[in-house]
Amino acid sequence: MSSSIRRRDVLRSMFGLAAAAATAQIVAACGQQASPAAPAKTDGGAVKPAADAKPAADAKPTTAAAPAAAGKTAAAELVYLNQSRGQLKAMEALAERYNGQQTGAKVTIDSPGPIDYPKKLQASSQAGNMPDAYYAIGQADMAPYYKAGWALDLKPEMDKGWIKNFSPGILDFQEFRDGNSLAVKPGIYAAPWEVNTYGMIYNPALFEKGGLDPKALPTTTSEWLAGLNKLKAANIGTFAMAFDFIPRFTQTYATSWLKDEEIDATLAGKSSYKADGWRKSLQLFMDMRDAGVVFNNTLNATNPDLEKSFFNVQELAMFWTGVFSVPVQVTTAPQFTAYAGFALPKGEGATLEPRTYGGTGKNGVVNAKGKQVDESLKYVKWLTEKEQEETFMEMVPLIPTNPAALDPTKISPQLAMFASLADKIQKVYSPMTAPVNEAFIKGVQSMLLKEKTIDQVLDDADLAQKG
Amino acid sequence: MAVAALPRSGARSRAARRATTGYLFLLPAIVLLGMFTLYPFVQGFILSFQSWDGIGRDTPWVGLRNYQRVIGDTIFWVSLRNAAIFGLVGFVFGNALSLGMAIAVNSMKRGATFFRVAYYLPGVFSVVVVGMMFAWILQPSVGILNRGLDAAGLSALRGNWLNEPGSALPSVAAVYVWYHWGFGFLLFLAGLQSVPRELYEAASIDGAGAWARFRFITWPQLTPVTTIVSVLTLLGALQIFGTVQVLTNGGPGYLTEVPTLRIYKEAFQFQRYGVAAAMSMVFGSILVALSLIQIWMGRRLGSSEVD
Repeated sequence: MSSSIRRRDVLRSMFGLAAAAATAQIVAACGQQASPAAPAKTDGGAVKPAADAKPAADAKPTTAAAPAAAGKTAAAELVYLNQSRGQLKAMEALAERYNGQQTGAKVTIDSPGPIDYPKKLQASSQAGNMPDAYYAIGQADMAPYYKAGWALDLKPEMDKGWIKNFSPGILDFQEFRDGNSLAVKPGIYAAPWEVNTYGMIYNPALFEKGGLDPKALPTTTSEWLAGLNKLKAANIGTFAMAFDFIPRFTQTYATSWLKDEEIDATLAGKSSYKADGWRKSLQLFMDMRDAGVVFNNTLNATNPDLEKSFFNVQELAMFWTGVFSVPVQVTTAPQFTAYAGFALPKGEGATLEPRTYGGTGKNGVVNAKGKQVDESLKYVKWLTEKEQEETFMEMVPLIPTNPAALDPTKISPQLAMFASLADKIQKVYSPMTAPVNEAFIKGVQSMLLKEKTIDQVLDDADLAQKG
Repeated sequence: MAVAALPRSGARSRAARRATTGYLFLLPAIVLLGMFTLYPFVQGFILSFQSWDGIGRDTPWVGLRNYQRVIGDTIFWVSLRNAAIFGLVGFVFGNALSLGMAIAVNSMKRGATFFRVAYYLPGVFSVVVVGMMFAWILQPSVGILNRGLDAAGLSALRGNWLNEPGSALPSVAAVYVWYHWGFGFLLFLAGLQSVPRELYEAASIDGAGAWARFRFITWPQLTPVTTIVSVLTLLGALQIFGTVQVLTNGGPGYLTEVPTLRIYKEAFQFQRYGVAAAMSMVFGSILVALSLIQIWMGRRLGSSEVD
């Protein structure tokens, strides 16, 4: 009898637990399902229809430019999902400044770190819990988010005058045009506060040690290779670039023979990678391989690895990188300031003046399905204003997109070198797709190992482009 | 008749109650298994016939196109070949090392505890820590290995371990074996400790030497453990991911590319989740087939040893 009562009690308890767990799951599931589709309330109390299945452009910024409503009882809690480690302190300082300005919004910076950032962003989108504002990694990576309606089209606001905060032409790198290869609805989905350029940085002390004049910089890649040979003979670490920058380097060097529109057409899938300019560009890797002037005979290191070799160990004479390496030096090797830079020299027999790969760097995207679209937009706009970009420039440092914020007297010679390349950025707006990117990286690595020819790499790139 | 049926019906209802109780106790495990294993598996299978970018809600059906793509993907097959090499190294060298160490520790009179801890210790580290540590050790210019070779007057043996065709795959495989040998070691040691001492004593009286004792007592007695260890180590080695990603990211070229890394890239870099799911299904089927063959062989070996 007592045993049967115990069993009954046990069974009842288990049923209770199972039912409670199941109910909790159902409630949680319903909550998750409902969340993105639920009407979003603005601070003013107006109910906006959710933009769940709508394209981003359909979500309208209504009162973005208006000052925060007076007499608000509670501040809107905004979350900016930050990817950058180098800009984190500046972002936090700016958030503190913004919060102190009584705008009616309180901003929190969420920083999962650069490695986890894409995963966190994706997980957030799948959970229907995207941050109010966030950073756009690259156009190809972000296209699915834009297509799913997770970004507000900022073009209408730009046209209302916000565009004054940006150097002429810089927003072209963010704009999706009609008929773009990624099939994103035309618009601007990210507001940048950083200009990115790429160039060669070198260690003058190692140049001198290798018998090179640090002031007599190469004007062609033949001269450059001759210099690398001298460094190699002196047993000095010669030249490297991060493996994931191989496509960017190739695209930069190809400008010696290819016009911007030709490169753009190739990236958009309208032309073949087997054009002569691409072939000549890859030939440089062959020449470097045959001369044995690639650092450690391979291009399989990450940019942080090479930054360590260049700034900290100082075993590498030269490497091709972006302006974002300058803040890394400021943070990790502040005493090492005796380095300089130059643009990648033009190819032998170049028919055109070379232009560098580049465009925009860190930026802000406004979540079109967020609960505080207007406040988020206001915050992102505020970040691109002169005072804030000056703070970025001083704290990070970086090349600001706001021309009013760029004070040449306040920047280091290295940053000035990268800034001088800004007007030489190639006007290529179609992003290279991830599979083509991979085809170039793996292909060039295989070329260096003598396992692939130039034609095979270009065939792979064409194949990857076709998807 | 009716009188006879009563007790039987009572027994049936008691049995049914017992079964219900059993199922209820199993329910939490079944729910968790269903939620975190079966449901994702079914979803993955369905996804392998769809196209999805990982963000949007549009998942059109594409039939067998993803599988056709996988079959035509030469890099995937290269990665499978690399995984087979990792599997072979893990299976043969890894298990031989684990068994050798287990036999050595089992025969020790003193200090066995220290070696038990020391051999298992690598497996406790995070894969990222192990990767970073060995990346530094194997670094060509300032790495400890090359510096050590210089110090020992063996500079001719210096190498760019992770970046040369001849050494990239073996270097990663060596790191993998070092990282995982503790697992097999512990299982083999437990197996060795359960072999009855009397068998060895009887064999010694019969004049059996060390090899004969190993061949005719230790090895047959270890067959069940060996089957488990070899299935798990082979599957583990074939599914190698973290070590490769941190050390080489599959490069240079595709020299160290493995299927799990390929699947990861298809999904998270190329945003082709359908293709990644199809790759997972193909790769998973290969693993299941290999496991079944291995278990079957283990059973045959076990029964023939008993015979």
